[in-house]
Amino acid sequence: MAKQQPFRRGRWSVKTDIQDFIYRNYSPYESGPEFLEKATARTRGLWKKVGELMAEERRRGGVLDIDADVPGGILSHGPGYIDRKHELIVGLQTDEPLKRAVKPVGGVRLVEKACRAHNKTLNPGIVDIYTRFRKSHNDAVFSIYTEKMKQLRRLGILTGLPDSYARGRIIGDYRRVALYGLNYLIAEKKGDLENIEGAMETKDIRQREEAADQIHALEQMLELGGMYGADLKRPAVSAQEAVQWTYLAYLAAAKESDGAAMSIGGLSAFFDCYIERDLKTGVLDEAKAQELIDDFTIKLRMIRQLRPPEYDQLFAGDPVWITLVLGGMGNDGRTKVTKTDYRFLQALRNLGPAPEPNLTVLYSPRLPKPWKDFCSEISIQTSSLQFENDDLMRPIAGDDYGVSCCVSLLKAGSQMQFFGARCNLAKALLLALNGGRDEIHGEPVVPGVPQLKGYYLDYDQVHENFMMVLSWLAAQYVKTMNLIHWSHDKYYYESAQMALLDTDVDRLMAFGIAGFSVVVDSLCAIRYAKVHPVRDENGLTKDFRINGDYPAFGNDDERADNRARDLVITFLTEVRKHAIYRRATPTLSILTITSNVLYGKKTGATPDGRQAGTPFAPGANPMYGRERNGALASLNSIAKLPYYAAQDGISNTFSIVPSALGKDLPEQRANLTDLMDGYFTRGGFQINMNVLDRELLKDAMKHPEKYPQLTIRVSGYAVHFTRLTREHQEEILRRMFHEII
Amino acid sequence: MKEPAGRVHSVETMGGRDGPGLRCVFFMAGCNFRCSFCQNPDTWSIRGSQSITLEEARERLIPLLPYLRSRGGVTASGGEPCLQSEFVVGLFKAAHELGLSTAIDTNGSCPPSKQERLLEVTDIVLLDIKACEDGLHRRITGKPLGPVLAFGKRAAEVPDRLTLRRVVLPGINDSADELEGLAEYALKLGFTPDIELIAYHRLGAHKWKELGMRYPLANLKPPTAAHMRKVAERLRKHGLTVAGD
Repeated sequence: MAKQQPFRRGRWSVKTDIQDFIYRNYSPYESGPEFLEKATARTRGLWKKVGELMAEERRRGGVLDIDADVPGGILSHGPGYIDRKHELIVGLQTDEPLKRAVKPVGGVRLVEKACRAHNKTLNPGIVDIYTRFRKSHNDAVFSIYTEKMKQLRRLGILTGLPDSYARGRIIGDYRRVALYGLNYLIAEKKGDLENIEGAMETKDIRQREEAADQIHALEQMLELGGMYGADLKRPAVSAQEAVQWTYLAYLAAAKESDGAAMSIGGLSAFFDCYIERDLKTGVLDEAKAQELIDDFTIKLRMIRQLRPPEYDQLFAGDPVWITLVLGGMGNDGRTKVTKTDYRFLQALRNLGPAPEPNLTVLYSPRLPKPWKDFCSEISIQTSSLQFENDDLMRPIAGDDYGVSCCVSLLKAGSQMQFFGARCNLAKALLLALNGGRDEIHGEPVVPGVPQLKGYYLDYDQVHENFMMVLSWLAAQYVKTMNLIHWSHDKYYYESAQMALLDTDVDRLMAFGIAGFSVVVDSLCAIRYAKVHPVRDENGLTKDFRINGDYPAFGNDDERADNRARDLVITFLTEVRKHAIYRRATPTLSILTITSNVLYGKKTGATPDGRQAGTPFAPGANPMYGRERNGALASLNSIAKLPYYAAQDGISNTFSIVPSALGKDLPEQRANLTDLMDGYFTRGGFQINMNVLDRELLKDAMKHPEKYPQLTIRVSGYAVHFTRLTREHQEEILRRMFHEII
Repeated sequence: MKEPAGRVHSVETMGGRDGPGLRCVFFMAGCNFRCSFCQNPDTWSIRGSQSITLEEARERLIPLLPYLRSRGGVTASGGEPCLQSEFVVGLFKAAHELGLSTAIDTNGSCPPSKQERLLEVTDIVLLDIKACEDGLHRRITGKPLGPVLAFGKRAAEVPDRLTLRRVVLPGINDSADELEGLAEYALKLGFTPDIELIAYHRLGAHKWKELGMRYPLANLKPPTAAHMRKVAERLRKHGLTVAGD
């Protein structure tokens, strides 16, 4: 057996710097998938066991079991196993597979509700502690909200706020545990703590307290490793250890927090350094290397959090958003694709498609052709991938970054974000048309908005009112966000995740908008057609009559697309005018996840002709049925949206039937690669790719038991189609599939 | 000289089936055939169509270049694009200048006097031969077969330019004789074309109703996958390359 070579040393050897480690030690791979191995009998056996547990979970209404007696934490439970003898990567969130822990610090009443929804009773002792002795995040926020904030929330103008669930969106750099070991990381944090002094004003004290909490979390992580026989004190010395150490670090985070999205960053090139080294010494062969990735994938697919029913309406399908980025290009011009990037895609074949981890291919037309074609093929076969523009993100973040949740860029190890859900811009427009009153109940919301006059809506007047509303709303939105995150930091701080980021972390605050294409089309309708608002006896708009035709978003038509650009830039500019908690940098997303259905339900009729209560298009998608020039024109409209003004991401959900993509698989694969080369060259940011027959989805609605693994991409993530509510399923079917007759 | 303007039914920016790669398909308005199985009867008349100049057509292609340039290009379909051959020639010249390949999806009724100019700028001819027996051809399309076959012969003078298409109408144009006839025709040409089978489908039936017409094939069922394979096998026996089963 050859002797193990030490890794090439560099800056990373004297300072925490994973990018430098990868850059010096990784092996770019430019050929095709021929080397890949199928799942071994061991993997198949293990996955079968998990499959049975997941089937039982589905039978029990989506939750297998809850431990309602012990609040979750890094050391609250365990160890737990699926099948100890046959697991290569170990560690579960509780002592049994798929059993969920309760996390009352987020909000004890929400946990109570979630338990009740699954016929469990939360231990009264826990209820007592978290109502009488310890404030929860949820209670704290509602105690400090202003009445105006509560109104905006109640009316669905500010929506999906992380006040009744944990904010998530932080990506710890879990690789650090594998590369450096916890002894080193703890010593480094202690040094940082010592150096935080200043005048001991609030901000200095808070920073000291957080660093102390982080050190505590790292010490607990060490103990968690001990529970599973992993000596996390020291660096990993093999590929198996590198994967195991990294996973345990992530597990600690998933045990401590139940953030809405807990992504995992980019791991493939990092793991590949260890795997290549072990392949050289003969410790591993390809089948065993694949086993490690398959096992790691199985573990990620088993991460569970307990959610209250309201959460499901926003984020359907029980997602965790363990977003894992693959591929991309390096700053030095080499590709970042390694054999381990292929291995992660191969896991989709070996284990079948699934929503988690949320596989995100960082796309550049300069990627090696065999990799692009392989991604296209896997995408056609599984509809489980999303693609995001590496050429847009790399100049901002360098070549070592992760994607949080669906589309949010975060520099690895040095950046975090305060998640800000979204503001319903369609409602904002209706406030502008109703003198500042809410269109459904007539409640006065925005002061000083003039009532519109005239039979037809006058574009200039509407525009002026709308700008007034946006400006007022942005101020309220920022203030609300500041309160939420102050409370979250104080009552539900993510020590384990923050411990694996630089102590002096760079903070973003991610604002969002919903109802995007509804507003763009409405403005176009008012500008280019004649729109008559039908008002009820209280003068509230109930319907709109449109005379004439108008250019709609999604047709590569500058009249609409320019308005779309303006809307994004205007809203970000308004947000930027205000003081932001902890001097975070504001960013903006055009993303709805599955909440486009809920937001639509709460929104009255709009001037684009959309009926009251009907869903919005997801993310930045054009509205259904308004794309008249085919898919590429629609992609081009979305690609024009300015990423510099929406750096929290622009989501585009794309569905095409296989036969429209090409006559056979080789042609479909080549065409899909061409499509993505084109879209990303045009500056498109993201695409959720679905290659599916509508008939298949219809059948899956009728016979869900036949399709336990059917996975589709919705705005920014993947879900099991059969775990969506009927309402969400119908919305997806209604959505324009690109097909040619 | 005034540039020819085209009458266009619609433009589909993402065609994946009408020629190689991704293609921008111009559905030209107006057709001289009245095929009983037509899936786009709304393109028969030029009524309701839009007029588009060559300059406008070019403007529409430019934003699509990053998608189309590697393998795809422009396809003129319809309707019957040969009825507006002057516009199509102009469109194809513009496409070539932009580095795009050109394809025409035709029933073969290009007037002989225009064939040379059209074929000169056409990289791919997708010739849909509805039937190989004149009587049947007339029954299905209302037009004689001769000119169709003559156009195909001319298109096949350049290697790899011609692909023959056949929409399989079960029990109508897929008899042993019919398929023999198609194979014989293909093999006799200067350059043997590939054959692409297209399964008849009913997705266009509702358009007939919307246009106030009776759908003549109301009782015809689309072929099964097994049937399509059988048809393909029959043609392959002659040594032809067949796709679409």
